[in-house]
Amino acid sequence: MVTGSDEVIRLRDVRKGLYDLSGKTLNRGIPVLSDINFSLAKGEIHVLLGENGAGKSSLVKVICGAIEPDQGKVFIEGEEIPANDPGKALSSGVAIVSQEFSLCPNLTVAENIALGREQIGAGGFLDKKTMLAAAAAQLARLEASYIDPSRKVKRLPVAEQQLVEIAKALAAEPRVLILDEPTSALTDNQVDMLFKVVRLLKSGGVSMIYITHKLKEIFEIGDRVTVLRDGRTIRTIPVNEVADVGEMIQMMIGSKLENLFHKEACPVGDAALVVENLVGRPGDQAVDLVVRKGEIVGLAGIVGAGRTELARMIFGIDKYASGRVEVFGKTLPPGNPRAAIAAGMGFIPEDRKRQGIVPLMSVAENMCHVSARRLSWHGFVSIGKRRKLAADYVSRLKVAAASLGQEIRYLSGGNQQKVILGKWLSANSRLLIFDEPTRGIDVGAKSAIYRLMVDLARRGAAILMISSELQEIVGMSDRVFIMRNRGVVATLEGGSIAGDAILRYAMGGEELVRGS
Amino acid sequence: MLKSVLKLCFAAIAVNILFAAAFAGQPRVAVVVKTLTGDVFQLKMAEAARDKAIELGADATIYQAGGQTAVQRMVQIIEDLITQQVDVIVISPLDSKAVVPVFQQAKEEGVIIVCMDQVAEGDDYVTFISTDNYAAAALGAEFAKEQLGGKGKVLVVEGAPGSSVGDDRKNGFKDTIVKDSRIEVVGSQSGYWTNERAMAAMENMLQANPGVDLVFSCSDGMTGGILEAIKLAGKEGRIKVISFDGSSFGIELIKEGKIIADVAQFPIKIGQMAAEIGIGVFNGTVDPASLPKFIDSGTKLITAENADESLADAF
Amino acid sequence: MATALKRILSFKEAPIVFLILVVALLCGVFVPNFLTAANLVNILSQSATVGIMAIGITLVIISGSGGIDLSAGSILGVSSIVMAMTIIPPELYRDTAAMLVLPNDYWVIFKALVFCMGVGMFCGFLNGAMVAWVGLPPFIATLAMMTAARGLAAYISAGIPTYGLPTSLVWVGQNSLWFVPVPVALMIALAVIVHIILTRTTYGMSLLAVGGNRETSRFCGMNVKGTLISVYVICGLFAAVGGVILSARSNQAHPDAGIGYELSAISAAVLGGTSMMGGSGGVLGAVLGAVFLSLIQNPINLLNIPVAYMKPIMGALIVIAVLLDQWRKKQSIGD
Repeated sequence: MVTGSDEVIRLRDVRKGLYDLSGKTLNRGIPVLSDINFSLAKGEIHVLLGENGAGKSSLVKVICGAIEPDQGKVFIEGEEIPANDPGKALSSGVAIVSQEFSLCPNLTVAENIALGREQIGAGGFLDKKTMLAAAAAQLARLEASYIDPSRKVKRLPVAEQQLVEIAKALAAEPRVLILDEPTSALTDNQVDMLFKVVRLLKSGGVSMIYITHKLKEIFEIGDRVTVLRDGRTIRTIPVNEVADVGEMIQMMIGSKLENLFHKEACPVGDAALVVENLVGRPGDQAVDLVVRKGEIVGLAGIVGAGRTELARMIFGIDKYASGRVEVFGKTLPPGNPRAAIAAGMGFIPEDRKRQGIVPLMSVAENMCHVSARRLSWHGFVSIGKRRKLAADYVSRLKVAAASLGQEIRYLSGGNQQKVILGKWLSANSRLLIFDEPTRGIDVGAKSAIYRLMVDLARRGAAILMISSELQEIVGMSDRVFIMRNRGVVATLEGGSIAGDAILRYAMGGEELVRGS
Repeated sequence: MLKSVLKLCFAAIAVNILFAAAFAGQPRVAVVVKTLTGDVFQLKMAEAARDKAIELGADATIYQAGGQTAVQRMVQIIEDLITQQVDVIVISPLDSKAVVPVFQQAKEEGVIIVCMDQVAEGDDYVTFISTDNYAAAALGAEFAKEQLGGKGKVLVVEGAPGSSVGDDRKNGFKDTIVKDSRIEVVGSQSGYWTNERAMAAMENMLQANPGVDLVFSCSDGMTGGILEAIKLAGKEGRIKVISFDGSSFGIELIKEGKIIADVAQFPIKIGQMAAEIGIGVFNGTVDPASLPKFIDSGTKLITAENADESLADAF
Repeated sequence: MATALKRILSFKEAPIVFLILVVALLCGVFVPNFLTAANLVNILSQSATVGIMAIGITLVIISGSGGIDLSAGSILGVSSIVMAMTIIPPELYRDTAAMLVLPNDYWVIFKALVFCMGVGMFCGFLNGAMVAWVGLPPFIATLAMMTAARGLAAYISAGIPTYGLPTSLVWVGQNSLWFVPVPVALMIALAVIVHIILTRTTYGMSLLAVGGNRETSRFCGMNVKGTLISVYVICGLFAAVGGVILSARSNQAHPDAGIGYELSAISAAVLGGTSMMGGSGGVLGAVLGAVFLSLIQNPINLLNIPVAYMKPIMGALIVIAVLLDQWRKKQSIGD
């Protein structure tokens, strides 16, 4: 079915190191992509499958020319794309609907769709009429004529914004369309509609790369599927040759090294955290969960499943509609982090830079933000006590800093994470929420963080860990709660904690498994 | 026969117009000034113009731009007044150039403009009534020369930079005092029409020129600060002060012996004259063609000798 | 040598001290009568009002997320009018004729000072409430307060300035303790106190943390809104103290007093090494910045330079100071 001459896109032996926002390669860590071989046939819908961070988004960015590979070659319709010409892909008919919206919220739907291809009328003014008509035509293709092209994008619900995003990509009449998780914000009806359009485009000869987390979508529209893991293409198979979902999940997880985690069983004590019937927004599913002393409890789910939102409500950063949160036997008032901290809770947030550190302040100061009151005398900070306490935790957690007075922004991610952990430990927090504890941290520091977590559990601390890394959840958790659509869909314990099971629940594949 | 019919017609029309004016009610007069806050001169001038206009049967309101430099605001006020079709604008322009376009517009709409205190460019206003600031300051300078016996060092505390009134006073004083004398102007700095800044400028100038004999303050509104600076420098009584404006505050200072003279101007008279002329032109009793472009509202040098009598008609 | 330089550069006040020394040295050489004790004391006294305001404004800027107080000058105006009107009997207040001679009634003066500072703090509280509770951008909130407070000053005073305050109050503005004028002593004392609060107390730490990263501070259980409101209240209080000093020094209360002072105070804060991004800065630098602003005004008066040249020079010097500060930061990043 797929022959070389039909190839629209081919990637050969592509490699890319860690890169920053501008696409520049950074000289450290494991590469984001390596040994990537990938091809897209004409008129094909090719699904990319992989865990968070497996390299799916990076791969399509290479195709679009948004990032430049360090090694390897990219061909579009048999023609090699020179590394120094990133605009080439777009000009040869590749369009992308990315995960992060690229719409301008303050412009109208029509303006957004026409962006970059504005109709210039007489006298150099924009021809609004033509623009509105063109936008309406594109929306009609998606059977989304109910969206008013003259409305501002920011006034649309997220699902409609997603459709506008797709209409915008279609307006360029692309020959290759890349869809990066297009259905994450859509309802089932809208998804059906989108699939109709996708099939229509396919019959019109448009080739598509389709990234998704939802396993059943693969079987609905996919022709071939490529599984990525740790930045490598593991295997490419035609969808009709896939035996069962488990096989794909196994490919996504691989066989992981266990000794990274140093996990050991700790004596389990009384309940540290009890969450009862917690409802964030009216209409959400009520959540119940318990974390006991000495336990590490994982909170798994795909991005957007509501894990961080749940943790923020438990900690009191956000308010909730109804329910009860109890910490060490005390019921917490909603929306009051101070009460949570006083009850012995600590929170290591996922966005270190925005929520974890005060970049301009020193290591010692950052370490003592929570325990400041204890270190003070009538409101005056005891510099000596602060230094002593900071020095104590710097050495216990093995923080690599030039001095206690060094501004924390100059530390590496792993060391910043250790300081944040130290901040809570020094405040005697005995119930810790870790939100993506090892995101953006190199392997050595990861291992150190895991060791610290296990050590804490052994001393009787209770830990709730949110993670998008399956191996981390599997390797560290005594129990796992799996969330989907802002509700807990499953709880796994002990031996039943396995990557494939977690993925299946997180991605909504359990019906498929039961069915097959 | 025809002639007498025509005459009759003209008379009827004239009566008609008069009646129309009477029926339309009073002429509407707008008094526009820089600010009423902290500027007693403008306040008294504006109140006098308004009161006079009301006395003459007009409907009068005061509008203020709200600051010594609020040029744009003043232009907006005039534009609004044109829209409201007022008959007479009695105004103290903030900036002689910025108001020219709106003045033109007002003239085209038949609005009568009378300038007070500060002049505008062009000839869209009927007349400009003010103290002759240059001549008045020269009067003060002559008195200073006399007091210093023809030799010595003097300082000048100027108004805000760019103010034509301030420049006239400064130049009138400086030009006159150095003429035929051995008097030297050793410093001349802006006090921005405010007490605090006049005080700071005076303090600093006194540091550079410890041996000055006399200071000329371009406004009573800055003299308080100048006196504080002199007091703080420990030179009270050793430096003579001449001020400008002739407000009751200034005259009291003369009576207390804190300053030796004050060049008086008459804001109440300016305001009254401006209102009279504006309404006169509107009623047709004053022929704008016969009016001079500048009317000197007069000036007077107040010293210890005539302080008491001057207090009566001071503002 | 290099390490000594690095050590000096680690102080955020280094650039402003350097600038002050350079300008002072140049003036000392080229401007006659500059290096006299009386002139230097003058420069310091003239900087006191702006310096005290700059202390408050520095705290507001440190509080981050665009923290700024444009209303400080207007708050100065309204609080000094309130003070004068408490002291001066109404019938005398309307009398613009004379330099008033008022008795030293200490109870009245005390009441006046309390009202004056109360008004300043209340205006500051409204600013803080608009920023922290309503969520207005500080620029907008304080811009509104700037207009409102100035209007209030004009309204309650009927636009009339008044000359002459009780001598015991004027003492605060014009007399000296040994060689140090009272306003300068007050400025230094307040700067030292606030410096200690900022660097040595839990309140100061939370302010720096809130300014440096509001989200992190919430996660650490700090009272973010309370901290925000408090800095605006302090800023209002210091504007009122500035009003007392200004009125006492010029022996006058004027409804237009302090117009434009907020911009001088903001300049002083920036000159002193406070980052407009929030989260870092110091009040000692702000006071030095205020001293610098009156320092460069001084030779202009001494040398009788026309004012037109002054403003561009001041603008250029502010840019130079900020560039120096950026260079300093780059140098001290080295380790």
